[in-house]
Amino acid sequence: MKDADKMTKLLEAAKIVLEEDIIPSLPSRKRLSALLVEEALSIALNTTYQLVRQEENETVKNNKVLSNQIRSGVYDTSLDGEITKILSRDVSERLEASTPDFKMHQKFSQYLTN
Amino acid sequence: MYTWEITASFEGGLLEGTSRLILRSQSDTPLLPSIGIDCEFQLLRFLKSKKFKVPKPIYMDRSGLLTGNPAFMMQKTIGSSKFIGTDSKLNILDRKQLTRDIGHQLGKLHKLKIPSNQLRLFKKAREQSVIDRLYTQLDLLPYSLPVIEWALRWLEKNRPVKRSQSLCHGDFRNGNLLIHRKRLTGIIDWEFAHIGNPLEDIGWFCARCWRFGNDMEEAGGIGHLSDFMESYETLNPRKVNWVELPYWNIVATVKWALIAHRQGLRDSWNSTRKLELALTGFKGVQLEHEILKLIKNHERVKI
Repeated sequence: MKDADKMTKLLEAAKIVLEEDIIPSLPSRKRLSALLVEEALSIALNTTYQLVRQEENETVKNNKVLSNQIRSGVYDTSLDGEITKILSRDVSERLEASTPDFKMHQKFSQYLTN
Repeated sequence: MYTWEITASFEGGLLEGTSRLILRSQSDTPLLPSIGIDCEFQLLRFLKSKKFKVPKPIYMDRSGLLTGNPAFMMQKTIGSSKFIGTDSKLNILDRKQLTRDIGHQLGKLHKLKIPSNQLRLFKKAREQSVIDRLYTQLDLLPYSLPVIEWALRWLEKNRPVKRSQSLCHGDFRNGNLLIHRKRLTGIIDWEFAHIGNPLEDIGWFCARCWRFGNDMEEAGGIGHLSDFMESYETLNPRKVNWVELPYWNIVATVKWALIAHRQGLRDSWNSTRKLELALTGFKGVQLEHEILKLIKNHERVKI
C-alpha cells in the first residue's frame, strides 16, 4: 500500500478526535457504537504500522532513486515520454487507495485554508 | 503565524473605548518563506498609506510581551474569508463586480513603486527564484516525491523569459480575501510577500485547486477571468503576458502540493486541527494528479 505513513497519521488523528472530542460528549446509548468504531480504528492502525515498516524498505528507496535520476537530468531528453507513464501509474494507485472519488469527479474540496 | 480576534477596552488615547482587534503573532517555528512579523507590520503600514484594502496596523510588540513572541495588533476589517464562489445568492452581476474589485486591487499592487527603504524587507526573497524556493521546500521533506521532482524539472526547462518584477502578495487566494455584502473589503496575510513575477500571484489565485469545484469561474472560483483581466489591465496595460498564465497555474499547483505534503507531517495540540492536517496530507496526491494533467495539456498545446 502506498502512502501508509500518511494513512497512519490520519487514523491516529481521527482516533484522538473520537476519543477526546466525540465519545465524552455522547449519550450512553450511543457510546457503545462509538467504542466499537474506536476498536475498528485501532485494528486498522495496527495494520498500517506494519505497512509503514514494509514501505520504508520498498517505495521510499525507489522514489529516492527515481527523484535523483530526474534531478540529475537522466530523463531530460524526453520529460514527456515514458517517465510520465511511470509517474501516472503511481499517482493513480495512490489515489485509488486514498480518495477514489477524486479520480472520478476531479473536484477539489475545501477544509483547510491556512 | 498565529492569529486571534480580541475585544479590547482602552482608557484614553486614540482608541478610547471598546475595539475589535486582530492579534497576529510570530510562531516558534516560522515558515521558511515568511518575511517575519515585523516586516509584515511595516508592509501593512506602507500599503495602508497607499489606500489599499488592508487591515490598519496599530501596534507592534517586538518584546514578546503579548504572546511570548513578536506580535502586532491591527484593526479588525469587516468581512469574511469563507469561500463564496458556490453561494447561490451571488448573481452574475455580483460576481462580475467582485471579480473586478479583486482584479483592480491586484493590478494596483503590481503597479506599486516600492521605495528603496521598503525594498530591504524583501531582500531574502529576492535572492531566490520561485523554482529555487520550491526546490528548497521539496528538499525539506523527509521523503522523495518523484512527480514534484519531475514537475520542477519541467518548469525549469520551460521557464518563460524574465519580465519586470512587482511586489507580490505571495498567498493571493480566496481564503485571504475578506468579503462583506458581496464586495471586497480586505486583503489579509501578507507574510509571504516578495518581489517576483506578477503572474505568480495571478496563477495562484486562478489555479483550479483554489476554485473548490466551481471550476467554470476561472478567477478564484468567483468570476470570469476576462472580467479579472480587464480590471487588472485598467491600471496595468500590457504588464503581464497572459499566454504564460497556464505555466503559472502549474507553478501554483506544485506549490500547493508541497504545502499539502508538509501539512500532513505537522502536528498540533488541537485534536481537530491535527485531523485536518492529516487529511490535508492526502490532498498532495490529488494535486500530483492535477500537475500531471496540466503539464500533459501544456505539452499538447505546444505541439
